[in-house]
Amino acid sequence: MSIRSSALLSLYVGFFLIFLYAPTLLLPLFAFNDSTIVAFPLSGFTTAWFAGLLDVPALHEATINSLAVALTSAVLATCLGILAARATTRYRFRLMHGMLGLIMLPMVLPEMIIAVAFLVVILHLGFSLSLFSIILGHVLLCTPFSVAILRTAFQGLDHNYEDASTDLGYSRWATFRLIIVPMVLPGVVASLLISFTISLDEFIIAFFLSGTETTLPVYIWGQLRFPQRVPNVLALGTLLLAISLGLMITAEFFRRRGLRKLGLSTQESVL
Amino acid sequence: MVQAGLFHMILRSCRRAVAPSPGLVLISPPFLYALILLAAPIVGVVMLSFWSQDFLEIQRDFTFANYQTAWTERVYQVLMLRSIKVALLVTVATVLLAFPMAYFLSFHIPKRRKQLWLFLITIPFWTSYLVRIFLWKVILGYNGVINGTLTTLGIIDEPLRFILYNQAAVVMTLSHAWAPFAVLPIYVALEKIDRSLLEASVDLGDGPLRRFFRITLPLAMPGVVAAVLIVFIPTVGDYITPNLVGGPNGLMIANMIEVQFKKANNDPLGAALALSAMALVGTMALLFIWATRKYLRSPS
Amino acid sequence: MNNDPIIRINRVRKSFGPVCAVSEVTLDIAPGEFFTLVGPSGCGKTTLLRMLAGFETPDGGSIRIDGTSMIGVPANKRPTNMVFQNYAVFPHMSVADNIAYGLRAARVAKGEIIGRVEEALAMVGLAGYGARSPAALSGGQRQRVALARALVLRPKVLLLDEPMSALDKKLREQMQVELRTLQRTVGVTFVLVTHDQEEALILSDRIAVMFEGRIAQVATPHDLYQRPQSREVADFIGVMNFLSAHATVSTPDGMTVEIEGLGQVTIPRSQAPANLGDDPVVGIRPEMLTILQDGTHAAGRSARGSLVDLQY
Repeated sequence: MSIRSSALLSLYVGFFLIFLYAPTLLLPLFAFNDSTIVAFPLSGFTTAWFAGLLDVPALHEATINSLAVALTSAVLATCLGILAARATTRYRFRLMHGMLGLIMLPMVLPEMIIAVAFLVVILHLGFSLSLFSIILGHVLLCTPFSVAILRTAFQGLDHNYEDASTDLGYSRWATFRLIIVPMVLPGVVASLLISFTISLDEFIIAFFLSGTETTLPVYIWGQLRFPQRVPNVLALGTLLLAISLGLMITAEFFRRRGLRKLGLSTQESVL
Repeated sequence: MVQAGLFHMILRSCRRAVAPSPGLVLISPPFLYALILLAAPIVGVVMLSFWSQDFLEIQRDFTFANYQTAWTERVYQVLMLRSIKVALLVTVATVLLAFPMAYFLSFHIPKRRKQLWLFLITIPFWTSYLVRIFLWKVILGYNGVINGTLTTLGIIDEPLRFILYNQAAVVMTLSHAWAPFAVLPIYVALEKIDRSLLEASVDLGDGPLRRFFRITLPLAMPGVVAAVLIVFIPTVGDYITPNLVGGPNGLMIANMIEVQFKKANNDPLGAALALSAMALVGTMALLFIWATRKYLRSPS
Repeated sequence: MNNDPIIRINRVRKSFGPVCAVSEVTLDIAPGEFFTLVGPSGCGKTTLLRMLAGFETPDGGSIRIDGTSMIGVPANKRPTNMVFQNYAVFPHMSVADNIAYGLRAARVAKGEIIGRVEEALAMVGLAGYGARSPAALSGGQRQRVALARALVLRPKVLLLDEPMSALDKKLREQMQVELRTLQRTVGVTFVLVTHDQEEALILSDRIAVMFEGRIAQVATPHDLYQRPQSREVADFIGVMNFLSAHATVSTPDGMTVEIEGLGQVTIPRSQAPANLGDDPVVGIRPEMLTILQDGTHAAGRSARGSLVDLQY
């Protein structure tokens, strides 16, 4: 490639990154800006919008709900993910690909479809909407991601390790505890963190399925209608970004440590 | 003879029933979960789409009326076509934006830096989806970042109105939202290309441009196809973006589905709209895969 | 010394679906023997080894190790240990923890474990490597860890599944020497599986050649090379030229055959099985042939020919 086209490409990459980062960079900028109008020029530094988050009971309630939903969904999705990943990496059986396909389907289905399908079933069976219905939906949504992560973890688990452990005198259960669990643990942690983050950020399913109790994204959605509340929302968004980033970096760290432990390359990413 | 054979067959099937594959036992919980909470509800939606609703009462008489309404009434036709159009534009824009970036990542970044760059590209994705879309409203708005800056610089006297609350704003916002998802599969496909194939092409007399179109692009096609599907399918059903930045002429089919289920209390029509959209998207996706099948065959 | 076989395999069979991996194999292996199962890939040798280890269950027949039937005995309760093809050294444990792994399962006292691990490390030439992580070891070192990990349990039989296949040629030759020495030192029965006939000839006391689930011949390396009992075996072990012949005289001492272009040759009975027909195939090892100048007198039998190509 010539130097000129190479320079052009670099220039393009610069613009692409600016485009990609524009909203993310503006978020903390306006979250600390001392004005209710979100526009340039900036008028001054304030932490008032963050402080303002402290005395909103509805926000606290939504936060607690969101954390509970995300935690439960992450644990359940990871449990299902472990089973599916182990089944499809260690064994071969009839209809395996079809079954795995159905489990992975929510990854490509518009969330709207999942939400509508859930709504129909829950309402027509006469159940009422609650946080529980959101959890059911989030588990469905998070499981494919969990399966994708855990399948890489279980694929690194050569079954010779299990045979070797049995050969050296351990029972199946002891082998599971001493060999399999430590080797896939980083993948499990990564799956928990990513499922947690997805659930925490999910809006459509929560919006359709929430009854009287709401989650954080649904709360934020409600706030967007009030212009005077916008700076608070931005402050909240900044906090969420910080938390998500923290969780993602931790997840990536665990996943890579796991791959390194198994002596595998760390070149491929979670996504 | 026949009896003995039959007996043998029964015995064999019994043995199979007694000891199913351990893999089957393990996959059962996640599979049953998906079956009960995804496949069954979708069947429920299909059934609902053939019923009708009289205020809050569901009439369980089989009818095609919902589909007739969904496919013939002007308002739904407009929304459906617009959703497809927007999704197509978003897909084309995203893939065109993402390809050079993926190319740069794969061919111009040293191996040990690639992980860092990939992470760099996915960071913006971890901003809350809602907040991210809302920020585009802030950027494009009447008193927004672009208008504010342009006014301050004296380039324009009055804020531009045409940049928000239209389909162009929707396309741009969604392209931004999906960009990392399109970069990754294309990058993976480019990484898989055997570098000696590119050298062979130059050795056989291709210039950089001909090499790109004759070797690089065809071999990267599986990644491009994956990117197209990853972007196109969910975009048709996007709800938040048209709602926040689309304005009245930017609304899409998902917004109408929500209206049917919530305000209009016409669940069967909502179901028919949702299924119609899904069928349309599914057909288009399959056609696309079929059309590009010659690039998707793995060398064996 | 007890001369009862340590391993008695009697009419063992195993199929995977319609594919028959091992059919009706009967085999005795003596204590302290270095025994090798050799054959092309897919001949059932690994399946047979895994049945000895307890990872596969035979469909029929019996396996006795040291006089005890192994039917229904799981892998973790057998007096055998295995060195795996890719070594299966646990990546999340140190070298010492890997070697101590089986001792802990056997509930050996802590103090004794330390001593035995040291001993095992020294035995395979890895003294001082205990604290290392397997990721920091070379292929050859990992193989030594796998050996130490299995031998530290003092098994009655050590099973080795293609242990050299992942090593480069030079290292492989070095490890073959070490493995043979190690086996003589510890005196444990080794059962090795390999597809490499050269390796089998170098290492073994006795070799079983397997084709398509059956044992074609069991013999010492010398006999296998000098007196293969079938064309298949002769072709698989070493290089052999095959010539078609016609039997003229057959006596209890030997067989006289007419080979085209070579004339009459008498083959001793030990190298010519009695049941050969009238048109046997005669094999000649290339190293048994000498090329002479025209007109030079040959000590043995000679035939005229022309040199077509020469390779070093």
